Amino acid sequence: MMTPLAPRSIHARKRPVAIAFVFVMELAWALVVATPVHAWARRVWGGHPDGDAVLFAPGARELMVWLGQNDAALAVTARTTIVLLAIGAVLMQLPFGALVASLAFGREVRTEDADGERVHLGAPRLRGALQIGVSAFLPLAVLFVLGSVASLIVLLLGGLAASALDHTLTEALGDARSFTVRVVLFAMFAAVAAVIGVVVDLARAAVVRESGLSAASGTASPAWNVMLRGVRIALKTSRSSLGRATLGWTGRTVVGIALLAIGYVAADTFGGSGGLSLTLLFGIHQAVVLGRVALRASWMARALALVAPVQDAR
Amino acid sequence: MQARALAMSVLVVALCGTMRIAGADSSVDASQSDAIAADVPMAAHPERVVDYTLRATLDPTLHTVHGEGTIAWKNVSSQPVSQLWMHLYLNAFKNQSSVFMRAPIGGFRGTTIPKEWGTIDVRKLTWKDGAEPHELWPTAQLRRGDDFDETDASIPLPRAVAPGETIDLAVVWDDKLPSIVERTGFDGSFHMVAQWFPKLAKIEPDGTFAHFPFHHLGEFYADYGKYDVTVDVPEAFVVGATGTVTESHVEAGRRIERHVQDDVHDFAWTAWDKFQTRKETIDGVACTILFPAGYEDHAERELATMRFALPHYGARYGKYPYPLLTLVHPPAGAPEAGGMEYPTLITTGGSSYIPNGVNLIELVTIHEFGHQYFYGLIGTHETQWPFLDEGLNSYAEAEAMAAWKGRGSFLDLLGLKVGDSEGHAERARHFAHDDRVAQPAYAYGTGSSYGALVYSRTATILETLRRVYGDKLMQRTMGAYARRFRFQHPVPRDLIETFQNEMSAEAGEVLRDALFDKGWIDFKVEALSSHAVHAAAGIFDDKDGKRATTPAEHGVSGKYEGWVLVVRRGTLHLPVEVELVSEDGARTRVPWDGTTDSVRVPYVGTSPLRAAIVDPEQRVLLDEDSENDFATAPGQAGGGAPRTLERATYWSQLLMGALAP
Repeated sequence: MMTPLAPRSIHARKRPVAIAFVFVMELAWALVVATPVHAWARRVWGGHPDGDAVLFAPGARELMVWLGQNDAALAVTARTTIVLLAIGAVLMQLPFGALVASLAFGREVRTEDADGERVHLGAPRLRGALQIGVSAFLPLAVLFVLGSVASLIVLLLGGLAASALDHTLTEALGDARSFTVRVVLFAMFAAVAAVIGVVVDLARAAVVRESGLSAASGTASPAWNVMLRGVRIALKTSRSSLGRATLGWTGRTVVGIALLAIGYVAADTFGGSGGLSLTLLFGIHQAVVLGRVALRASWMARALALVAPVQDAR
Repeated sequence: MQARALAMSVLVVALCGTMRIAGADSSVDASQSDAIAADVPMAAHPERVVDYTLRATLDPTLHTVHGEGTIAWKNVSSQPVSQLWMHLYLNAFKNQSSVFMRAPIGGFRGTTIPKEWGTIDVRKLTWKDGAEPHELWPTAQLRRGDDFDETDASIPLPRAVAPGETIDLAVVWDDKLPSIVERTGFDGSFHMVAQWFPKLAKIEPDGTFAHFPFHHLGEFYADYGKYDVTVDVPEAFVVGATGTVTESHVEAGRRIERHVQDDVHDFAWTAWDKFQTRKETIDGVACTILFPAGYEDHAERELATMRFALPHYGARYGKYPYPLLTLVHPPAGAPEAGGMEYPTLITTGGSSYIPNGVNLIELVTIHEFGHQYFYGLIGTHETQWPFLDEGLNSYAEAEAMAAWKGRGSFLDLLGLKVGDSEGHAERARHFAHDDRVAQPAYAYGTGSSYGALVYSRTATILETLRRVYGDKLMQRTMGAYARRFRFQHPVPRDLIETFQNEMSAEAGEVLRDALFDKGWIDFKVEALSSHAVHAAAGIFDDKDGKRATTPAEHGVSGKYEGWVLVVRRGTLHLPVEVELVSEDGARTRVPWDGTTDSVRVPYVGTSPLRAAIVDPEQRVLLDEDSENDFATAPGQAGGGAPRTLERATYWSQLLMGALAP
């Protein structure tokens, strides 16, 4: 039996299995995405006694030779990789839905001690969370597509507006300063795109929670209706809590960027080394990814805590 | 036409040999005593052939320049001259029928149709022959036949000018600057004034003039002399120009600056009312950076580049002889004015934000500064032999950038280090069989092949020679060439002979083949094999008649023998190393002189031969296909591609996280 958690009880740190599940799913699909480029590199350079270390050698001659061949390998690999990435982005809505379900709901757990039997809400079983994830998949996928398109449109408009302003101000300010204005204006549009992303995340939280509640009550709504209800709840939540939500998202994003920096420093330090260094680098990179998944879970927990009262009040 | 040009060059070399002895003031610069080629005599001054004393008045609203002045020209050839040739290169932008504009060249800069056309109109050209002035311009011919190009004018003289005789010409002309197309023009109030005055073509020793229309891909070739130019601009404008400022004052709202420079073969200037200025004396040279507001970081990077480049080039190619250098960073609206070279004045470029680690600013700056040598001090014929300036200069640029920035000389960002030389090699590789490197600029079919072969292929050929024959020998060779031909007009033969004499006959031959005959090379590890060394198996009778049988599985020596077959494809012969990799990790390098088509390198080791690599140090950058430079023995495994898998997986995770957070 899945029970919705009270906002103060929603914490990502209580759902390590669900976080690990998302991480493993993403890693698995990332290995699929990496297969074409890996196969290509292995085919060309795998026979070298130093393997693909030559591709990472300073000077990058072999890297340029590899990428610069006049055959179709680069184009085929690039297109295949992009398609796999896009498919993965949609497919990953499933484990993501399971993660959010795991955050939003608890499972009654009975324990006995000296004072007698106690009932508390523990983490739901992965199977149960996945079932909610499956039922929420379609609205989540549609939300993902629509949210991405909306953000891209805003970014595109920002690019056009910033470019136009840049050209207008060049004569008066000089091109360096007008370029700064351009960057600032574009950053403002990017901030709007980020806020759209925050609202979409609120909607995703609401959608998963809605799906879980429907499953618990034994009712089922069409995916489109679930998504629309999720959007309405997200918009209603935004009216009262957009600032808090954005702040919560921004803080975690900053930490996420710091994790990326750690990954960059590690790659820069180890370069094209193999053996133990490569294993260590893999470990650091995976730790970075795991940290980012945990941050995402933490953010979605926050989003759930914000939408839950609004959703329950309906 | 190419053969004729080559024959003409040979003749020029032969005649120039005499001229050099007569005209060049040879002296060794003591300050270069630490340089490897410091003992090579280097001229302190060129033979002065033509002196220009000009005054230019800029109207920044109409974008016009009114010019007048005098030209003192000496017939330094061995023949009387009865006709002058004058370059009117601003007419390249007069209409779409000029040689410049109608050249079917894509893939290179300068392909924009100007929004405003440019012209140069000579109003008067007078020869003050004693007391009698001769008006020369009425008989001048700007066009030939149906050709509308007006960049190359012939001017008949009323009498022949004897060898050694100097004549004085008075000239008045008007320029209408084009909107910036390439090299010259205006953008708003920014003016880059190059190829702006009537300029006499270079007189060759045989009395002919090296005259030619302004071609899209080549323009420079001129005699050395003194330029004394007074520039008259509105007071608010900042001027940058060839030569030292000897007079400067403001008069009736006009800024008047006189710039004087000896020993140069061109003069260019710029004027803008929005220039910011930074100055610093580096290695005894007064460096001035002129840049738009907001580009302070770029100015600092350009100065930092000069702090490295001036002493580096001085040690390699002889001390920079002029007291000043002006670097102009054009505004963003005039990128085509960037990346150009004029005596003591270069233009750089780059958008307002270029992160550290992307060494574009440094690279452009060092490249254009390098032209002070390979174009300025060594006055080669750019139209006829463009590789002699752009190619040698691209080599010098890559060498200097590597000496300064290391293996990430082009890009050092996100853990990726991309070398400038490696970039040249990759760019050139795709064009190696298309065309000869050593041919006139106008003979190239596309701008892409011109760029790849003239700039990158030449740089790659020279970098290969440096890596194969050693840095010191290369420094010596290039240093000797740069010093010996300072203030001269060398041709390809001079370069090849210098390599033959200073480096080796073989190196000279490689250079000649690669430049003139599309010479190419591709090493390939064709096959390899090894086996355990056993004592011979079978029945053996000793001296006493005793018979013993040695089975095949006995008598294992613990040694392995084998071979690697390396093939050299192509026409170039270069020595190379072959690395033999044993199963136990031992690596042995065996040199091969590369003179035959193939070599079978023997292997002896304590474990089976695992793999072989030809040219493991990547010295032969000319190698066409490095993907066949290695092979693994049957049954042996290579190193695989675990790094690629790790990076690709990580980036895929990040991208998926970003796409669907």
